[in-house]
Amino acid sequence: MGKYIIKRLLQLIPILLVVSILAFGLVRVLPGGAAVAYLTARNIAPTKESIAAAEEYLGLNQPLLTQYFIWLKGAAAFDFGVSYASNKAIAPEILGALRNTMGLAAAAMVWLVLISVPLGIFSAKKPNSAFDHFSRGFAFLGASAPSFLVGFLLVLLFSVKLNLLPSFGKRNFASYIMPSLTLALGYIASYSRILRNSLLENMRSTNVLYARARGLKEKRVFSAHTLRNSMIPVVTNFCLSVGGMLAGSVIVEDVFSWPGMGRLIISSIEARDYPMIQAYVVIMALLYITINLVADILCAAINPKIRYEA
Amino acid sequence: MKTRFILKRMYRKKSVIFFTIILAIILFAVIAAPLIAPNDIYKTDLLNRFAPPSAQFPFGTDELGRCIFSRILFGGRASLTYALIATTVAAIIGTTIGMISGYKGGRVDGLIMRICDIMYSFPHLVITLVIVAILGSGIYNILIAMLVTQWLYYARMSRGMTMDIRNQDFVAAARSNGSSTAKIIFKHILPNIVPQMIALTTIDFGHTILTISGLSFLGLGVQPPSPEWGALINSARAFIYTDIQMILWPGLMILLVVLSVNVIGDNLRDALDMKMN
Repeated sequence: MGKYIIKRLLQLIPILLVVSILAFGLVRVLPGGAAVAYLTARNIAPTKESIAAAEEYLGLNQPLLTQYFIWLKGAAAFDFGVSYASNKAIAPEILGALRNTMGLAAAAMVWLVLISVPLGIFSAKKPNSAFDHFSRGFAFLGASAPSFLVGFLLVLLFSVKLNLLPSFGKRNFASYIMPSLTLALGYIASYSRILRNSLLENMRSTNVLYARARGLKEKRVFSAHTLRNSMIPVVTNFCLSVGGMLAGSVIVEDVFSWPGMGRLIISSIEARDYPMIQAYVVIMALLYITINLVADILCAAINPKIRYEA
Repeated sequence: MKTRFILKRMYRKKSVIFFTIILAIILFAVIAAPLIAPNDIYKTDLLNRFAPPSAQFPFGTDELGRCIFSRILFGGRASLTYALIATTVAAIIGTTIGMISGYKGGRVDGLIMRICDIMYSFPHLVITLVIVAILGSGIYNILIAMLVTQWLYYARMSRGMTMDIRNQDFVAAARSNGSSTAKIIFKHILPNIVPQMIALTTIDFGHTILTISGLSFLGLGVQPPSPEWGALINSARAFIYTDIQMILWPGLMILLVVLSVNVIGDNLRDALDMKMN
């Protein structure tokens, strides 16, 4: 197991290197260059003198490699420089937004487990029953509904008509309910089907048959054999959906005015705040890579076959 | 080939027939929009804002007195055309790259797989947003961004299938006949993977509609006053307390189209006995 983890960690090094080069290069491919972007964001007219001054200030007249290492050294210590738009340090702002988005994703995970696990198990216990058909229909609907529609319908019902929940912002615990449910819905749909299909597949497997032949109780067969083996695709997808949620919360955050990464990146794109976009790319890639790694390690822990083949 | 057999298997279920009809109706309405639409989509009438549904304005009018029904019809044209372009081009490019990669193997394959590894280390939406950040917002930049991320799926799947086919006897026979690589790929391998690629394209089409309308909803895609389903909802959100219909109708159209496409694609996949994650 230790060997497997070390191997997976070593595979990360070239990927991280490429990610850092891509994020750094982002500012190089700008039309007009970083200096013009900086001046535009600061509402200064880009003249010859002001561009020269901005290049001096941003350190753009140093050799490219030097700039890259200065930037990399900062990024490694989570120092991403200063925002073009607000002229404040980037790290505190982006980490605050990240915390809010993670909170939202965590709440969505709670919905995910609470709804899709029972949905998947009950569907698999009686395949092709009325409940199974209902859950299949729900899965299609959930995967096809645009999240802005779901979000606005929830707002209409719970904020406008019933006046129960706050329609925007992050104020208290109740603020989490609607955005996280909206975020979770699409995942609940696909996730319950993955669990159901995986359970059905494992119910037919020989080790489950053997467990029954040994005279184990049906409950024990289900929990120790069927469910355990069905967890592999579930864990992989679970971890991947955490990564997907962190990025995919953009629309939900926009609908509910949630102060997270999604709103930050949209406003940074509008303001052409490139250091902020750079920081966003690095943090998202780091998170995503880490989550995938955790998913792989968890799967290898459940299933020895993966360890030996890798 | 066995197209009829596949279609017969696919349409065993009533739900598939039902959603095919729904999709056909919507497609017809959207294609025939210039003939069906009762009003000019840009004509404003400030004396007739937020009008209720009437004979002249079937869904009423918006905040500038424009016909909501006509705007939804033309909005669908934008949403569906852009999604169709993005999906088709990604499917063609991705499948070609995947077949070359799977057939050639070796260094070409290694390089393409490394590119895939790097792309997979970002959530796709992040790549899309970064491309929009560099190029600026607008629907054509969105299409480029979609292309950059979507070809991967097709490449990965066609590569795997090509590797299975590559070692079969008929390919070896073609090779020993002296057929060129291009001929083997397009004449012998491609026909064998087309049905599966169509199933993937169908499911991806629904996904692309959601992404494009989502980005337009965020104000990064189709720009007002041009109608597009996501953009229509974005401009209607300010009036959620006044008139929910302006959000509801375009939203339902997206839902119906994506749902139909997903049901059809899912059943096509089942009919082909495909296993995909």
